[in-house]
Amino acid sequence: MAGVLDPDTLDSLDARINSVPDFSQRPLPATPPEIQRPKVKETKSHITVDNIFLAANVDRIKDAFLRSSKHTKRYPGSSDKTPKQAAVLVPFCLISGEPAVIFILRPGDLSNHGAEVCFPGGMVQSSDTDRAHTAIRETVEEIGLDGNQISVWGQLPPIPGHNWQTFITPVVGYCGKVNLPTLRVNHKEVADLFSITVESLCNPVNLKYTRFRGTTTGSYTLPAFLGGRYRVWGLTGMMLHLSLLHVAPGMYSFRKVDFLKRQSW
Amino acid sequence: MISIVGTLARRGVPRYSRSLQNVRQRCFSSGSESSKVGDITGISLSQPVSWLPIPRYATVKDQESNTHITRLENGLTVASAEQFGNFCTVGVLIDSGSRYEGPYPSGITHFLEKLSFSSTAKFANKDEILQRLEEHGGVCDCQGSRDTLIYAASASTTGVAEVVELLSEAVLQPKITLEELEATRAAIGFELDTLDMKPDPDILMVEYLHAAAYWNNTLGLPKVCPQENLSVIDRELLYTFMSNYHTPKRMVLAGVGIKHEELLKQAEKYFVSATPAWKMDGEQVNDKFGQDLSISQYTGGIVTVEKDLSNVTLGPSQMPELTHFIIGLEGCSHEDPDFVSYCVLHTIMGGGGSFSAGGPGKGMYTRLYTNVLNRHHWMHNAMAQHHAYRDSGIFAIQAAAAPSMMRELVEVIAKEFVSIRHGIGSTELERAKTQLQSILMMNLEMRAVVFEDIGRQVLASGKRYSAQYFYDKIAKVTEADVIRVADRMLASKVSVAFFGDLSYTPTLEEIQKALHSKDGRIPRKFSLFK
Repeated sequence: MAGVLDPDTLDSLDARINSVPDFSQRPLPATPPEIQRPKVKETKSHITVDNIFLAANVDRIKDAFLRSSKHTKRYPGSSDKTPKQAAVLVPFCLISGEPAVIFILRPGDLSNHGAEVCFPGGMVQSSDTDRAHTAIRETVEEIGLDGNQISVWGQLPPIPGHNWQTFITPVVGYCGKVNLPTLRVNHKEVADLFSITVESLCNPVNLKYTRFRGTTTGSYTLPAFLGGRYRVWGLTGMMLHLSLLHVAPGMYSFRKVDFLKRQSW
Repeated sequence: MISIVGTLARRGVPRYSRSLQNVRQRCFSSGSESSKVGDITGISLSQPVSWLPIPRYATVKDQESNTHITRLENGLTVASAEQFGNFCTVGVLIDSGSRYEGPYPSGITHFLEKLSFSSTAKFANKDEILQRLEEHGGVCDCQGSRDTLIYAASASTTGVAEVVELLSEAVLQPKITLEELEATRAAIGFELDTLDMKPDPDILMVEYLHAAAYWNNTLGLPKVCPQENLSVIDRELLYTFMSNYHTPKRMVLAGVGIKHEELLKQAEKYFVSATPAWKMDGEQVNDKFGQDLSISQYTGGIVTVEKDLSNVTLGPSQMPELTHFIIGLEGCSHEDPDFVSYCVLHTIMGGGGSFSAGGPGKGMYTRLYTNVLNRHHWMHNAMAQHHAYRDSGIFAIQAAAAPSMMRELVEVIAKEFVSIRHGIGSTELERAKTQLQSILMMNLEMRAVVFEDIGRQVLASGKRYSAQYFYDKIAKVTEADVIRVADRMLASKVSVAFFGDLSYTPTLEEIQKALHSKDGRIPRKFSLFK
């Protein structure tokens, strides 16, 4: 589920050349949640592609998610009953022996988030026990991973998407060794399946950002990850950024800008 | 039809070449003119006139000159190519423009363009600059686009030193007095009024397309100054913007018809040792704004602008009421390996107005004529556009028809996008490739176009590929390449703008569905009870 910028919400807006309308009808909160810098304990040992999935780091990752969930302010409205709830899985895995993250490209003819790069996931159903359950169930449905193979590390606070009508909880987990071509993909929901190595995601050459100007809400900046088959940006980029800060601190550092912070103009 | 160099570039030039090419032509000759003049009537036409200088003609060798590129210690890049003739075009291209205005109020580039070549540290006003150029038969021009700002002048080669000095003054030392600001506000205000009234909405449609395609970021920011910013933009803002973006590392000094050593010498003198006006003591620069080095993010989306266009007319006779439509998909950057294939596709689509078919050379046999305008009498125009920038691009088709025909119009255009994937006939492909090659070569015969081509290529990549390079690349484009780029762009989100009476326009979702159908049709809800 990517795309803060959902064109579905745009067509009703009156656009004039001198005031390009803002994509969201609800302003960003005045005080942005402090989720972009989780208080991660300084690790003495360096995290590298070789030890990232070893028990020591996995324990630290789980701990980091627990701690940040205590410290993080939530977006106003995220606990309301009214907005719809969704969950996605940020699937870390080993592909050809290399740590990587899996992404999907949604088909262009879908009315919601068509032609966008996303994580597997979907809407919460009443039968789901928790957000992790939703994320794993949708992952199994969409890309055919074995649900028993997925172990959950933790989750991030819900992020608003789709014009603040939906709140999406990113669940971060490990899927073990994966061979993408052998997965049974649901082609109705997935146009393409691809992965980017953690090494590439942490390579400063591939890390870019885009600053979006808001007319009433102040501006905000989103990360963009190049180097994959498709660019990862928008909400998916934001979730990936937050996940990497927990999973590979030090190895991943994107201190160029404070994402989602309000800026002048 | 917009030419390739309108495509093969955006590296292209149209506006420029026209103004800078209007320089008075001189005859190319060698030797002095001091010999005595005799009676011409007695000399046979087969004999040379003894007191006239011996003419020097251009040779093929002159046309193949290499581009010399040097990076100076302060980061400024100097690029030049020699060319036959005693006129030269020299200019400065800056990696600046409306895409960088994110943290600033929009319209700064528009102001800079209008304020160009006004009073500087050395010249009291624009007239002095023009007079100085006039001494060398020269003209100057400034053109701002979304990602490049160009200051350029053409003059006799005798005046190179003065032209470079003048450019340095215009780029680095603008005074921006209160009177000049007021005059600029008035000029831009007048321009906005004109835009609002004229029947041809091309400029607006391109603005809307970019706004839809790059929602609130970089290339989607308005290039035309918004009315409410006219009073906001002042010298401090302009100086702040320039201090952040107009640095030597982001500039190329390019010259055509000039020796590289000569240009280097002048560059050292006027661009390396100079201190820009915004770095002078007492000049205010606001630290709050800073630099925005965002990459452009294609988002797709829709912009709809309702306006009563029923009374827009050029003359006494009534024009038909039109609603204007533009539909774009993500194209590619001009550094992309597929760039030339997109240019060929652009030529295949072609198009124009239904009342000015032009000749065969102007695209009479392009798809938007043969499949669209010639078959649907109710369509007013249909034209393909290709905008390429450093990190992204848009491939678009603009069209217009009566407001009630909007759904049909969208279907006709969507069908053209879809049918590219069904194949390109070999005659059609060869025609487009030849046409593109000829447009490329014809354009590069103009000195001002060569100047802009060198400048833009060097600014974007630090290199310059020759015309032959692109000529050969065009020749290698196959049907599979064109279909591949069509698939690539159809995988992106659609960007749409409507302008005029919006009573009958389909939704963005319907348009997206039409593009993903087999025949470009908007899906219909079946109902037995109508």
